Amino acid sequence: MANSNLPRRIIKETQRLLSEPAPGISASPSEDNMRYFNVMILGPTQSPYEGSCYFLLIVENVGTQCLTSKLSLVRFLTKIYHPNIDKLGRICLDILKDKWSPALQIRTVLLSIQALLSAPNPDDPLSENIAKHWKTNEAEAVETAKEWTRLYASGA
Amino acid sequence: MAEEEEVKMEVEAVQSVYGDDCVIIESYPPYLHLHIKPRTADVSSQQFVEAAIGIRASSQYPKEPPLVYLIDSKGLDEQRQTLLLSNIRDKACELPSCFMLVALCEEAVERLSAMNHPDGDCPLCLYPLVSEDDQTERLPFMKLMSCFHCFHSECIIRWWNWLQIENKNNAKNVSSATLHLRNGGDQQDRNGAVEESMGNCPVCRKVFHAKDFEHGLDLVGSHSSQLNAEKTEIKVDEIFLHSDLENMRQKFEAISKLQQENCGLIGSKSEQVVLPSINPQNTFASSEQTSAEETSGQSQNGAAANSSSSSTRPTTSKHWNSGTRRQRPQNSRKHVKQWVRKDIGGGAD
Repeated sequence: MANSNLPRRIIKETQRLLSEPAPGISASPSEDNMRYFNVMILGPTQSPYEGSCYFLLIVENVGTQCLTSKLSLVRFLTKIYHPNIDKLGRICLDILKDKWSPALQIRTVLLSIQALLSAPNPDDPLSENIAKHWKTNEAEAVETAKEWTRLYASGA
Repeated sequence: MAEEEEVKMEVEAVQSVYGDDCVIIESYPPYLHLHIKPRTADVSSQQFVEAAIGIRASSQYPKEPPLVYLIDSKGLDEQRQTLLLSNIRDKACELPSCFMLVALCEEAVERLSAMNHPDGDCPLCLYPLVSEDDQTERLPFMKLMSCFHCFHSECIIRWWNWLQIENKNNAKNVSSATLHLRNGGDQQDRNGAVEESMGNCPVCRKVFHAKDFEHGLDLVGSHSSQLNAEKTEIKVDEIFLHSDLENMRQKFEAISKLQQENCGLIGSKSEQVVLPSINPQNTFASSEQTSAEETSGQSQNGAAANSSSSSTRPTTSKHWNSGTRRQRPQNSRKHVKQWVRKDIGGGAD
């Protein structure tokens, strides 16, 4: 069973995510392997993603000793039109890369992703085309993002 | 005016008591900054908190108590910051119309001294720094001198060691590319030395020096078993008893099914072009791919593949490596895959 010998930190993080969920974010561990989290982020208000539900997948790969390595994978499962997220759902976010700190938790990472939805940053793009669109005609890009939101990311 | 003289004398008294820790900005009406340290901290390794407070009085002082505020603090969480300030303000209210500056400063030092212990959880493992219920189970912890953030010794050193390995690996990659250009060896050594002796606090990113650690290095190993062993099994079960979890799952499933039907999920159709490539991110990408498949199998249980519907998503061709997939433990449920990546040419419309 994959859940035996889980690092204590994963257990603690999971408990906190469930007992004190952050607004607009719900995360649940997969029952089979608690290193997998299925996450739903609600599109922030005042953003092109308002009114949407985005699915993300997190695999917390905190190594055998529970602290040392980064979140191995955070990725969007729902299609999204955003300059810092590519078509495979990968996310360009400094704290997931060189600014990673072991004091960051799943909760803080998800809050940062939520903030990234509110404030796209076309100057540090992952999707060159979308970023270009964003820079040359922001209003139109935002419209496209809204359209995608409506088409793909509708919630209940 | 006689009163003004008296107030000025009081300010002088504060100055003489606190010396360099006290900065007088105005002697009348009194306005000063005070740097306070706990009295119990003779040795710097025993000091876990410090603070700087501002005290500013109006010309109505001492009839009106002065304003007290926090300028800076180390090692104090918000709760303790608030407590410290309200203690000092309470003191001010207890001494109406008195010359109270010295008394307030003393109160501040007194209260801070009582707080001279690390508080809360280790930011790395999220378990309490100092166990409240069982004193015998105490794990050694340490503090970074630059910012007073505390960690279990074992946690921070384990992270530190990992970081050193990471840096070395990175340095190797970089050095092979750049250092040849500049007469290499010395440069590399110097860089290496810098990286090894300094780091950033995981909490606040403030730079610290490795010598902060040295007193703790020998502790690691002797206690390592404690941190990982106990009590995990029971808690895992408790998590799955959480009542909201099932509701959450059902909601997830319903919405993701809806999105699946709308082609809203990445990879729901042939839009991803799988190409063998020399992308340096290959290994990462391939592990992503594997896990993506696992999860979509998991979360979209039973949904049919949308082979007939099409996506409006524009395609920039991304390169994937279909080889070298990492094997992860899977159970049979995860093998149900709803979508299959097409080979070259299966690209989106």
